Amino acid sequence: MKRGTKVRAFRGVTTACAAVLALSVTATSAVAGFRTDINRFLGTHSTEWTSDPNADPSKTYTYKSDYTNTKDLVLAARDLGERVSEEGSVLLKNNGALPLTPAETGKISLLGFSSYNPVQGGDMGSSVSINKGTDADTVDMVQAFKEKGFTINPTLEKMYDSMKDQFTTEINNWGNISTVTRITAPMIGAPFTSKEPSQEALDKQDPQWKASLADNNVMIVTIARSSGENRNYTPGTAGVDPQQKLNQSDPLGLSDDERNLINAAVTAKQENGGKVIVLVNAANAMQLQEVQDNAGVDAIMQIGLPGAYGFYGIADLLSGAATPSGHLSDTWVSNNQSTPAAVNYGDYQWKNADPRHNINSELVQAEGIYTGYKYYETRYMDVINGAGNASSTKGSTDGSGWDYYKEVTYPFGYGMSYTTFSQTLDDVSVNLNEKTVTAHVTVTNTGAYAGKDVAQLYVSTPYTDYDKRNNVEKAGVQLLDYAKTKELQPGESQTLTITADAQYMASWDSSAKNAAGTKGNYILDAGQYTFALGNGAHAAANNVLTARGEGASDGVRGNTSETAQWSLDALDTTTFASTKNGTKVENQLADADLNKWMPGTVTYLSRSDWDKTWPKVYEGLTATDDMLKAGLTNDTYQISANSEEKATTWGASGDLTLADLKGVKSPDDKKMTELMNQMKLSEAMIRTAFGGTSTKPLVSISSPEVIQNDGPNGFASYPLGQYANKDKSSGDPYAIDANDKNANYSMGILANESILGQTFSKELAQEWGKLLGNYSIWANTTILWGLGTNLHRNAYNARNHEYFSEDPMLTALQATAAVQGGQEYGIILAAKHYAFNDTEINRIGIAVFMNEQKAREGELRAHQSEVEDGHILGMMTGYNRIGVTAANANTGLMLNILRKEWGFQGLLSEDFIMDNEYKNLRAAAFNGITMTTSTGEDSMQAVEKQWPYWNERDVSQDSRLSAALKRNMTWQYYAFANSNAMDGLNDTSRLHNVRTWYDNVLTAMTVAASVLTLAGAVMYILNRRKYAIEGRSLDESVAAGSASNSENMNADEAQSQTASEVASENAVETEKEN
Amino acid sequence: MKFVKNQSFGFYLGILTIIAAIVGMYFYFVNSATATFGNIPLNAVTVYGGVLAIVLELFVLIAGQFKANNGWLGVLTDISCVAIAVLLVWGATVFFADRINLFAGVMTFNRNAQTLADMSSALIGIAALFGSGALAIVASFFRVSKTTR
Repeated sequence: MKRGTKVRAFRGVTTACAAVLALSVTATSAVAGFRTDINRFLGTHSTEWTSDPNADPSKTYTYKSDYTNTKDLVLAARDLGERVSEEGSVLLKNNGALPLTPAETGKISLLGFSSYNPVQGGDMGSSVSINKGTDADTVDMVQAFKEKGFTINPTLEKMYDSMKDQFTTEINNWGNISTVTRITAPMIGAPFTSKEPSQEALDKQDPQWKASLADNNVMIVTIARSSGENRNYTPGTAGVDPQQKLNQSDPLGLSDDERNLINAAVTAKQENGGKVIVLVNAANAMQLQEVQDNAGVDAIMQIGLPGAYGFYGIADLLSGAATPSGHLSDTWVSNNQSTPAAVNYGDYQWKNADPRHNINSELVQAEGIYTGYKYYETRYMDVINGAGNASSTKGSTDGSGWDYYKEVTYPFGYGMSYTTFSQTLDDVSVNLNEKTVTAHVTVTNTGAYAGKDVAQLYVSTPYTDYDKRNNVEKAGVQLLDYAKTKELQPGESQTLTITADAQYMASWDSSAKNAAGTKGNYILDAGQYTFALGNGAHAAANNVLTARGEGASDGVRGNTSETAQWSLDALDTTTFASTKNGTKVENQLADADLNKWMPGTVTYLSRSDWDKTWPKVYEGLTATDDMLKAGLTNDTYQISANSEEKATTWGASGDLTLADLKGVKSPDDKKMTELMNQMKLSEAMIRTAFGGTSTKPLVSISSPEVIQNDGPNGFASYPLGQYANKDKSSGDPYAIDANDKNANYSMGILANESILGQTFSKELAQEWGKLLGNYSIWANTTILWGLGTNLHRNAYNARNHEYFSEDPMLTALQATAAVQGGQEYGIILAAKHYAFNDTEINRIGIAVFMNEQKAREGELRAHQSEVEDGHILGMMTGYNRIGVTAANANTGLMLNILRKEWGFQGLLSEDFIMDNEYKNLRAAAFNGITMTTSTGEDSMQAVEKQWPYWNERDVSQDSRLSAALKRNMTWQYYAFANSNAMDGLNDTSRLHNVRTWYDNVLTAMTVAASVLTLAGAVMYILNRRKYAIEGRSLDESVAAGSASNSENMNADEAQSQTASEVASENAVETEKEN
Repeated sequence: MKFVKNQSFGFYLGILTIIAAIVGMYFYFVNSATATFGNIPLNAVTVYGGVLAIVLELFVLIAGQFKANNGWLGVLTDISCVAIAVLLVWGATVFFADRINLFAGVMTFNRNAQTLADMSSALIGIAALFGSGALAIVASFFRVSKTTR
């Protein structure tokens, strides 16, 4: 080999090795940022605990599971899943067809492709886990029905099975692109496409399918709509696939193919006898008036998205093994566009939208407090009383005077049973000193079946002239509380005691003076308060009207035995002027009202005049400079040197560990303060910035890694065995065998949360929390973002399935019961998304505007009880803005209401915002956010790279921010100290960093690349030197040779023949050789 | 024509390296101006390193045309070859590492036509930069022109 070639070869080797070195060094840094995910994937650990082996085990494993093995655990999940669907499915229509006789369960015809391919969970988020080979495998409708002894028409089953390729859709579920065989929800802006086969398609597939109905004449038709995060149903025909031409007026209405299928069943019934039952496999409220009106349809049951085991419960309901006791958590109407909350629902881009700051669109919730039944029932009552132009054509579906019965198909809270009940409101006492409303309700089963019943306690508060003058709105009826009976045998009675929180009768008056000397207060108006029971809000409204002697001429026939009266002599502005922890209330969300920024722009819907105040669409707006500066540009907190707060202690010496604080009663505990003083400022800053997927271990206070999981339908992100302790010798009573049959069990198995809402059972919600808590112990996964506490503002949000209801009280009380159920097991069952994240359209950045009364009596009320009564330890914030300010940066929302008024003392995470500016770390930290969902290396360098302002020098000089960080970390670690994340640790436990094999590989790669680079460089230098020497020798010899031959050459040739040319020729030869 | 005939394999690889690096840099800037990735600060390694790599590659190509390549010019050329590959690979890795989180977001929570389009510019840029790094490594094994010794 020629010397020049060697030089280039070693140059190449050096280059390649140096490039690998650069890659390995950079990769080492990047890997550190994703250590948790990599460890999870590889099953490795970067920290290690040491403990005294003689430590008391009872102090090491504090939280106890109710189950001794994973089989019992997953069987309990199956049992609860079955019972939730039994109590949460709602019987909407029944002419006596249900329950089925044993003989009838032997001749079931399942019609509709969704009978064979049902929607059991969301498309993305709350997707059902498909478990196979475990002790509690997922079952679909056919499997469950067969297991329950039903016989399914084989002709239909075979026909639909042979067509299943037509029912597939590709979906994205947390990045996993998969093809599902069922109906799916539309992506944002996309239309709904029906997949129900036409009659012609069915005839073509199997001409005998209709004939098979003769012998299998109990026909169950399933109509389905899916749900999903980051999905949306666009209202009206714009939301329907225009290519299909199926006479579908709304994505939540029926298509002709669905209509014709139901009618085919009705026709078959007319020919062969039998029954037609429609199952509504949807969480979003559908438009079912035509099905209700179809005399050939015998029964309708809404089953929601029943999860992995719900079809067992539905089978029991159909067969009569269980009696329906569910009640709707939403109002189901004939036209979802008729609700005032649908007027402003869409993509209303700012004229000066600016993607740099996530300024995209706005949404003005001009309907005020009137969402769901609070609109329909209030307007109904005003129509009866001839008040407020309620009979106006505004909001009327058919354009004539507004008529409740043309609009509402099934009221909120409505649900049928196989048996009948009578309810008597024995007494109601209001104690404003104790701030309670106590009601006694006697429920008697007057029918022939055993069953449960729900006592729904509504209150109708006075709507006064004071309210009209001060723009205070009042719903005609509002749910105050509820209770569910045990299973009552025919003739059996039970007296329920409902102790409601009286503060939820109060209304927010933004103009009222308060105890703080400012404006904004909760008020109780002077006048008559009517309490009423009822099978739904409409029955309660009728009871109220009758009790007040109203509506008789309009045929209103309420039941006065289901009502009670209470009166207040004078306007009360003091009882609820302070919250439960003594904080004086005042306006906190004035910035959320668009009228603050653009005076006189918004008219909020008022029952004082339904016609004149009916919402208009607020679109084409231009954000003003004031709005941009006040929050839209995300520049709401500047880090500055100040001494407004006392100096904060960081990095103090000490040997306390978080395990020493297990079960600490208060974040203000002296030892807790000492522990947190040991933390360094940089550690607090890193944990605030990088809180994604888990909170990383912290050696300085020996805190463990705290794992998070997502899913309102359970622990869906990881299988049971992902973090479960597989070391049976560790002393962990909940360690599992490495080959445990249920190690791969995934717990995204629960029904969607609207179904839990529809149970109206705090007991079941509590069991839900207990089950999650038990699972959390076994799975070693402490945090579950599992309580969807946003409201169903209207039917079109395809993420409604993750939230309980349109009603804040039903949401709050179910969620609180779940939180309380889980607490004894140490799970941090976290609520999301605080607050007003009630559309998926432009959810990251959308500016949601509303008045403070709507905010406080709507979604804030849906969160309040979890904090005040449930002492919840974790919450997640919303993607959206409230007014002009990102929810994370909104001081009124985060600090003044959540932390101060309600006293929230737990961890608070941002949602999965990936934009570093919109994440607004400094403002978020100042406002009590304890973590974001970013991940990154455990170093200030990594944090500063993403947020240059988030550096230790500047933050340490900002006394306010430094104090806020200490306060936030105290809340966060207080929550951890009271969670099962501490299981396995005791006061002897200490955390140490350890290296993983991939750390070693990277280091080895770096070292090897370094050595090889160096070796290449050395060899290069040596060869280059020799090359240079040889080159010079060659030049000299060529020059000498040239001189001796010069006389044989002409002068010009001699000058041009240089040594370089000779060398060049050599090189050419060398290259050819190569 | 004589110039072209005089070029060696390394020359063409060098040209391809520059083209790939320019494409990578272009898409880096395009991506940094998108709504999805716009708030990630420009990384000095990718920006200045990329520019420097291109300049050095030009230097290598020009210096390679000289016959007297055995002295300081040759050493500088060889050092440049190493630096080019290091800078391009380093810049590409940083480009990728800065965006992993957002890729995860786009593929899951925020998947829509806009974010996917934004992500595609990042992927093209990263691929181009890594490609340019690989080309630079291969080019370092070859001389630029037949004139070079």
